[in-house]
Amino acid sequence: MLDTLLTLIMRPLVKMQMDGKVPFAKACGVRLSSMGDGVARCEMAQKPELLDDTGKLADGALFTLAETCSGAAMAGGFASVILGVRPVAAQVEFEVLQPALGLINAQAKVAQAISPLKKTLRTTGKINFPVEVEVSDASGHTLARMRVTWNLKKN
Amino acid sequence: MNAMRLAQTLASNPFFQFAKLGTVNKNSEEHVQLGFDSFLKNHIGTLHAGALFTAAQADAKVRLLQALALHSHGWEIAAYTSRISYKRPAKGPVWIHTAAPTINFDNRVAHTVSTLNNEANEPLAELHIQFTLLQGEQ
Repeated sequence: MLDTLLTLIMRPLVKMQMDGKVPFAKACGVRLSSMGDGVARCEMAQKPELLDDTGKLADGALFTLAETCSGAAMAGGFASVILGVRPVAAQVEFEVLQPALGLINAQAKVAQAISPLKKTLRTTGKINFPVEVEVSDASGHTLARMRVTWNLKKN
Repeated sequence: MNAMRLAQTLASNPFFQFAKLGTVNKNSEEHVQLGFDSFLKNHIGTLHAGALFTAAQADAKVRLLQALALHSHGWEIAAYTSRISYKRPAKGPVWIHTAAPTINFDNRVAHTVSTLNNEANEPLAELHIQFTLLQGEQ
């Protein structure tokens, strides 16, 4: 009950704090479209400075979009406790499947149930879990995939 | 690493220019370097994971392309999968060391390991890339 209330209060604040406030993500033009219970959507428009030497969106730009989205999914799921933990992206697996052009979307999801993870966090003081991210273009074609292992530790 | 080739790679890529990737000479070898500009940071003021990946991937790719060029059989990079592990936050400029790539021409794969170091030469992160190769024009 208290956790639900805290989530309702904190999630919009966390979203506001994350959207356009992380310097490198902001410089790349990453926007946080939505944040829910362990899920998030982000988007990034093509800009000349984000291209690689072949005229496609650079892998580093796609990585930045996807990693930012994973952080938003994590923060959305743990909004009620986010002020009392230190989140660290410990490992990132990243694969580019197709060249990217135009407006790019990322969808991220915590790959485990949030409630049991919160229970473990309360009892042991730390948890780690994966967040899966899929990057796609405006036509819905999957362009890249990412899996981020997040570590959360109580302050 | 060949200084000229590295400089050309960085200059020809708008995103590398945007991230202000530069070079640094360590032990008589040229390496990719990432600065500590404010726009490259994350929410806690250390270098962003995306900027770190960009620098390490650039170094690894140039290193592999140089190794492939030695064989002069028209080998190119077709795709890759990667895994980067972050050990500690980057609180200053970072330079990349990529070890000599392991290449298996029969299976058309190559593997690189790149270490991201701070100015005190302490490792901060490690990037492993598994490349798939294809043989183009000879």
